[in-house]
Amino acid sequence: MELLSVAITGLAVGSIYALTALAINVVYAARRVVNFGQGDLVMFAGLLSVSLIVTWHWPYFLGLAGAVILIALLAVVIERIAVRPLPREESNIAWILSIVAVAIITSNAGQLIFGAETRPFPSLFESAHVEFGSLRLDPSQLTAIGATAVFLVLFHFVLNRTLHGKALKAAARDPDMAMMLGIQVSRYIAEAFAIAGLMATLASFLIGPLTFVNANFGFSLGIKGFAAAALGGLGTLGGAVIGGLVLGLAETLSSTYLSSDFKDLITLSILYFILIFRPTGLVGEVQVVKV
Amino acid sequence: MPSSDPLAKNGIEHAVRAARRRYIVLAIAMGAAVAVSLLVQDRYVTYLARLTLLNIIVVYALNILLGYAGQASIAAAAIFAVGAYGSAVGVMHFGIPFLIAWPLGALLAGLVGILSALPALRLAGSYLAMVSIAFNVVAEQVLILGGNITGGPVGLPAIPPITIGSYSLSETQMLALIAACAVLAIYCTASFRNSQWGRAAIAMRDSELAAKSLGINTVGLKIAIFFVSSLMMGLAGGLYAHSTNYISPDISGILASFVLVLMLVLGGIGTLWGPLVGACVLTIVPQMLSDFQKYHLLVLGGILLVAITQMPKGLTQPQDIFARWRRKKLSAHPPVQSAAAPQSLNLPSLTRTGGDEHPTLSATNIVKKFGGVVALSNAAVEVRPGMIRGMIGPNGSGKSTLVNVLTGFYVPDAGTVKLGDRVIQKLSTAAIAQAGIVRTFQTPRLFSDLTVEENLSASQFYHRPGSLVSAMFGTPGNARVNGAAANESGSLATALGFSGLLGQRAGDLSQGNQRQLEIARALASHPSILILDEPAAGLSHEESMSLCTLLENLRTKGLGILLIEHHMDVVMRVCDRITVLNRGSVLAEGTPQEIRNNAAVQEAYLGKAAGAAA
Repeated sequence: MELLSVAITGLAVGSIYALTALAINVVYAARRVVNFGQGDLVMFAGLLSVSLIVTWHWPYFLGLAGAVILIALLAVVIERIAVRPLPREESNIAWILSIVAVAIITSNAGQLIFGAETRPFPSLFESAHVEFGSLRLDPSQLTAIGATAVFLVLFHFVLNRTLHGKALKAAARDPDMAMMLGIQVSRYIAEAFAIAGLMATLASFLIGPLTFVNANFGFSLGIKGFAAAALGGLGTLGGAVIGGLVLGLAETLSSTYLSSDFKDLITLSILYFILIFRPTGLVGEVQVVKV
Repeated sequence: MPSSDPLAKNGIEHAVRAARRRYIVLAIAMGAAVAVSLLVQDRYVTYLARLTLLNIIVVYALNILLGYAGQASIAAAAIFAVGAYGSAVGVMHFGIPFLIAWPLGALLAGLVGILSALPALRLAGSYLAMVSIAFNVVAEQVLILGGNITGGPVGLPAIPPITIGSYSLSETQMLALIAACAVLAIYCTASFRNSQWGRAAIAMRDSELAAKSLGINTVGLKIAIFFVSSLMMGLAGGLYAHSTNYISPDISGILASFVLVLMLVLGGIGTLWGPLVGACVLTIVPQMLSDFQKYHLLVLGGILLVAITQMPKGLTQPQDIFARWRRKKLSAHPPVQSAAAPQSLNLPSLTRTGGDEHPTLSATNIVKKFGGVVALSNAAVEVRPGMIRGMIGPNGSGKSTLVNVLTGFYVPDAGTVKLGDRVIQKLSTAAIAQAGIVRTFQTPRLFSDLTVEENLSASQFYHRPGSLVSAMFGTPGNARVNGAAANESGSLATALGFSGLLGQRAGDLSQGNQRQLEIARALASHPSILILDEPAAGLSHEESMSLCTLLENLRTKGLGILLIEHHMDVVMRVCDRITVLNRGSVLAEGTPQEIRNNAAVQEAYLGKAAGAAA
């Protein structure tokens, strides 16, 4: 039984990574950049939401809606100032540094605006656990797992089954051609960032009751999110979820049965070795070099 | 042979003398750095100068890695820390003298640098950046969890100062040593930039595909460059540990790695003096602003963002910003040199060393599928030495796919590609190019930031690399290699009729000149089989005709040429035999006359009625 509850905790943690990885993949699908700052966006959203709901006493769902709008706007602004001015070239140092710069700014702005202390996050659920026979489960964990499943299905449908999603992918694959076909490339890219903002806010509402929020977890969440995306295969939706769950399980199992000191060491080492032997990730397809 | 030409020989001797003169300049500069350092008395100035100089060394090492080789690795602080801990642990726990522990620590840093890049060697830059960040986090954790060896989170206190023999250096003397090392680091970076290794690194940065197609083993090159730059960072780390006498895992923090990259970007990435400016500004200014500690990171992030989006070339190349202010004055048209048809081609020796000089390239029963799409179902082609084989076919018939199979970009699902008796379809692109099959691209992929001459020299890297050590130290031997490469580049450009453009940046060339340069670049890597993918696309009629003359000339030199082309006048004029591809398999094969009269070919190109009418 203990193993089962540890595994569910692992899946819940993994769901958060998966959500972060999904958001990274949506942006990657539209503009071929990896938003390393996604974790900081989640952190910023969490601190903002706590301020709205706890400090200023907004109703829970009004706070959620307000945070979604503000963080989506923030993500669009980030795209406008840090990604759009950069040339799309083979060499990609520029956008990496630019996105890292934004991540540093977001994380420190969060600390300066909302303070450095850890704050409890409001939860929808009265009780910290529900019981199924002898199994005690945290409803927040179950929500996180469920939400990830919903997002996976939703994104899969939108990106692969709707004209809108196909246009978004076309905008990334061949922007010039997409523009000639009348696709407003820059609008789709901005939209992908807005979606990333929305997901960051929802992720913060899912992660908040599980871990509390403070200004420092953004960076490590960003790395785990990328690790999940890369582990599954950058750009693949299913891969993001598989990668996230594997990392979450590995992390929870190792901190339960070994020591929590080793959890980053173990998860990042998994990423390292997977990438050596399967550079395109667990489910990623071998990319055809276009010559 | 270039070396028998007295003029060429003079050029090389001149280069060697210049290299010797640079040694004298280096000695004077190091001496001056030492002398100035010895004058410093103030402890705070000593501390600040030491920090600045060590950052200079690391940022120059980073410039080789990020600036020249284009490897977006963000783990410099961790590599620096490995050098620092390696040296300190060697001296403190194992009692090794500093002069041995220091290079050992640096060697360890070099190896760790290779490890940090291992997963990313085959992948694009975004992976490398994130993997290196993850690696940096792991390295910091290892130092924290290292127990007695690394001193845990507290680190190692009371590290003995730099000792030579039994003599311990004073603070000022250590500063002098560090200053001399910093001067040496700048010199080594400059020598590297002006060597075959440096040109190959930039070639790889500007177009990795083209670099591979010219026989540059990019995986090996990346490993060598990661090693060298990590070694430099490790040496700086060792100096830091023993001159500061206390190290903790803090020095390996990911933030420190970002700041080091920021120094490089702010000063000017890929420039010679940018790292110096960036390291000085970002070491000294934050020290002065220590009252604003709270906003430190916010300001750093802001600077990085503005630097990267508004002045990507850095502080040392301000013309970019001014150009924007002047509302982008129309840039002067780059010079164009229209190719005079070379009458007789006085090419430098294209002979390949060793092996069968003139092997035949043959591909049979090639099948290549992409998912459900069958691009090649049964393709075949043969190119003999001294022969021009044309390959034509409607769009989508599989011509480019076949070229990609022949040059190792794709591994075929079935079929054999042979060069002479050697089966090559599973070799890497670089290995195939080294075996003698070199291609050009449908859209020119030049090394756009290198000059025309450097493009040609970089393409000789595989058969004329010189040693990496002599490249780093700018030895006379390196000057000889440089001189020989420049000579061959010069004679190639002269033979092809664009010697006036040698100093031009390749990215500024006209379309016609870009195509010429691509062919010259392929020749510079000494191919026995040359594959040209639509070389006449976008050329004027005269340019096409001079291309024909060039191809005919190359044929007399014994080169086998595979020409993919849509311009039928070119194909019909120069080809000895033509292969027609249609829907992934061979539709017809024969002399130009036979192909012209082939009913099936006419049908494929013009439709059924035309076929029947003929």
